Formats: sequence, C-alpha cells, structure tokens
Amino acid sequence: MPRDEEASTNTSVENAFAVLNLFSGGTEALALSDIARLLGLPLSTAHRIVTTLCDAEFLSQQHAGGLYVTGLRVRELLNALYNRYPIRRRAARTLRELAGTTGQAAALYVPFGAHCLRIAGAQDRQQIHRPLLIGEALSLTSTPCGMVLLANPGSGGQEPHRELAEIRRTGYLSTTTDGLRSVVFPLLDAEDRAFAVIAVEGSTLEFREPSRSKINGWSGIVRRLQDQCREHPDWTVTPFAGIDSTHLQLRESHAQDMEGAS
Amino acid sequence: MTTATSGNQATVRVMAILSAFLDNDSAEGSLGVTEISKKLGMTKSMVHRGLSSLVRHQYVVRDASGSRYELGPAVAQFGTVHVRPPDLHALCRPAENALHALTGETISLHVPVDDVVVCVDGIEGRGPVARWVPLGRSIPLHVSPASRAVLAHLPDDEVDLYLDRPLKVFTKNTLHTRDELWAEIRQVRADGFARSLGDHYTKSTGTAIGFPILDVNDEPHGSLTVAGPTDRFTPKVIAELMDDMLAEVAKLNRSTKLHLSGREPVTAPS
Repeated sequence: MPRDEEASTNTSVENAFAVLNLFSGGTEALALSDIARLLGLPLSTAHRIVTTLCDAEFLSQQHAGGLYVTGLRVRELLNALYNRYPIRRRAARTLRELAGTTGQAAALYVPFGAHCLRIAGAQDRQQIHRPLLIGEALSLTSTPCGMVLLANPGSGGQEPHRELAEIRRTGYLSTTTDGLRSVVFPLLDAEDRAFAVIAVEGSTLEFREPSRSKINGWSGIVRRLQDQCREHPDWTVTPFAGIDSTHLQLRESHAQDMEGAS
Repeated sequence: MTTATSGNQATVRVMAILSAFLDNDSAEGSLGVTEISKKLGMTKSMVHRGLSSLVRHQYVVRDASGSRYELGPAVAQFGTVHVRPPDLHALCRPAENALHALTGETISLHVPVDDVVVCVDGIEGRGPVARWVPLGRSIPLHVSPASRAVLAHLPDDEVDLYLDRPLKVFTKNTLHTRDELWAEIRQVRADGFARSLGDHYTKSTGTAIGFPILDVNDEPHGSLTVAGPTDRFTPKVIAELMDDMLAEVAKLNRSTKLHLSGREPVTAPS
C-alpha cells in the first residue's frame, strides 16, 4: 500500500475509534454537529465516519436527522465481554432467588482492575426503584462491594488491613450510604479468594436493617452457589482483574462511595 | 456504505474483525489470525493490521498463549443496560408482524407461568379460514408446539423437575413418558422449533410451529407460534417458509438476548 494511502487509512480508522470513544463513560446520545465539534473534524468527515459506523451497527440514529446512540453491535459486544466472566451465567438463578426473597435488587459484581463491575442483576417488588445499571463501575477501594473483594484476597494474598480483616471474619458487609442499603456477600473460590460479590441493594426508605437471621438465610443462598463454584474452578475465572482500568472511561457510580473508607 | 474510500473500507474491515469475536464458537473463546482471515475472507495482512489497531485501543487483547486474541476491556467503556421488567409484547411485536406478513397465518405469543404457557398476544391469520388467537388460554408445558418450544429450552434440571409430575394426556398422540418427551426435546433443540403432533385437540384441523424466545442465557421467556389450517399450512408450505421464519425468529432473539433476563423458574409440583 502506498505510504500516503496507508496514512489516510490509519487516520480514518483512528477517527472511527475517536467517534466511538465519544460514547464511552455514560454518554448516551450525540448530534452529528457535536461529534464534529468535539473531535475538530469537518462535518462531512464526521458524517462519513458516522455513516460507516451506522452501516456496521456500531452506532444508530434515533430517527432521520436525530441524535446518534450506540448500536446493537456495541450492546452485543458488551454482553460478550460480561460473559467472559463464567459466573455471570451461573449466578442468574441465585440473583433471582435473592431478589425474590428480599424484595430488593440483587446484583453481581466482578473485579475489573481498580474497579468492580456490575455485570448482572435481578429486581423484585421494590416500590422505590433505583435503576440497576449493568456495566456500571464502582471503585474497588471505597465501595462496599469493592471492600468485600479486597477483604478476601485468598490464601496466597497479602493479609488485608484490620478493617477489611473484620469484613472477612464477619463473612458479609452491611452498610448504608446516601440512602442506599447494601448487604454484600463474597463468592470465594477454593483458595478463599473472592472472585465476585453479590449485593442485595435497596433504598433505606423501604429496605430496613435486616436481622442477623435474615442475613444468615441470604448468606445460605449465596453459599449454595459458592459450593457449586468450588467444584467448578472454571466458573471462578476473572479475566480482567489485573488490568489497569484507571485510563478507561468507564461509567462510574459514586452512589455507594463510603465516606472515610480507605 | 455510501462513500467507499479506502479509509472507510479499512474502518469497515476493523469493525468486521471486532464483530468476529461475537459469533466466536471456538472452545477457548479466542480467535487466531488464520481463523479470522478465513471467516471474513480477508488476507492475513489485513487481519494483522486490523488487530493491531484493536489491540492498541484494548478492544481486543492477546490471550495467555500470546498467539490468539480475545475481546478486551475497552469494550466496557460503552454505556450500560438497565435491568427492568422486559416489555415482551413490545419486543416481540415486530417479529409477530414479520411472521404474519411472511405466512399470512395466525401468530400467537405465549409466556410461561408456573408450569403452563399462557397466550397473551397475537395476530389473526388472513383468508376465509384462520386459526383464532387463543388469548388467555393456558396449556401444560408438554402439550402443543407453543409449550414444547419453551419446555425444550429450559435447563435440564427444570425439565426433569417438570417431568417428575403426572402429565395429563389429551389425545392418543400426547407425549407423556419421560423417554418420549426427552426424545422430542432433543429434536426441538436440534431444529430450533417445535411442531404439531396432534397432541392437544382430538379433532384438530390446524397445524402449528412454535419458536422459542430466548434470553442471554438461552433460557426461554415464551414462544411465538405460527398456526394455520392443515390444508393450507401444509408440510410443503412450512418447509418452503422455514428458513425465512427462522431468520425472523433469529432477529427477534438477537434483540431479546440483550434485553431479557430474570426468567421465573418452573415451580416444583405442589
């Protein structure tokens, strides 16, 4: 390929990635003029890239002349990415059972670099619905789900901080932050490493502090899944636990950040 | 594509390479350059160039062996999906319309409730004689194509749980033993649809085909049936239309797999 043509090809591909990246981090819809302005591209160039991405189903237009949103292909890719955590499919029934038993939302979180990612969930009969967003990222160090993951590094891991050691000893973490109550349970592999956590979540207005016996019952539901996982080590794979996620533009939730948490 | 410049063609190729990881059926969940090249009909150098771009942006990463590729973490940057009770009617309506336009026959949407399926929506067929939409009718999970399309796609343990109970016999053709039903379930799983066996009504003059509606875990949330009079909706007509009907159902399931989760399990016998 001649050098000029190769350079032009690379520029086009990079521009296409740049357009796609505009839709990261929770940006839901953009006009063509926004895309051109944000990337400093002529309108005609932006239009050509967007048309190519629409043809490939990576973007779609809400209606003729309307805003652009991510397309079906992107949603399929997200789904495929989440399915790289085998626990996602295995936990579906447990999440439904927990949501049904508690009347709240139940969600599955997995480690994703410096974050944990909500990759599955089930909701039940809550009057006050907080949208349960699949794909939302939470800080590993300042949220209950992250702390339960950190508290259980496994037999080969470093001894956790005193506060985290207490969480590990208790076997769950029950907290309220910003009107949201969470009761978080670890899923431990055969080496006692938390490869995922399951959280029961709901508004404090209707999710009253649960009794110890209730929590024990919910813990039993989670433990049944954990027992199955210990028999199937391939279910406990966490493909992106060790990545550097800090440079990715994830859609982050700060609703569960704990004040003063380390 | 409207303006087929070489740059656009390169973008199309890169997006096609990324999409190849979606229908990746290799056991390891990874793809090699040769596989992608064969799958997409591209030269290996094109695939190499495309993969380099994708790896640079972390949409794709090398697997542990270093020689194959997997989906990468950058995909996680795109948006989120709400978990909410699915509006099955809205999701299925385009497919109902398409199947109706294709066949001219009666389309029904059934959803599982405990251990039966219930008809909740449909479009009546065209012509002087047409099957009615049996709104509100419930049928046990082992009887009729509408039910067996659902039963066959339940997890094996739930199928066994259902087969443990006494199964009502409606006609001499009603399958009611464990062996008969498991053989039929395997057939439905292989075909992707369930067919009429004359197992519900003794004097039925209709024939029907049932297609499953599946979620992300390939578990069933309902079924769509196409039903017509036996002398019009013949085996020959069904065979001629089958590829197109399956294509419409595949399109529906592509959408439902992204939206549906949280199926209610079949309840234990009371």
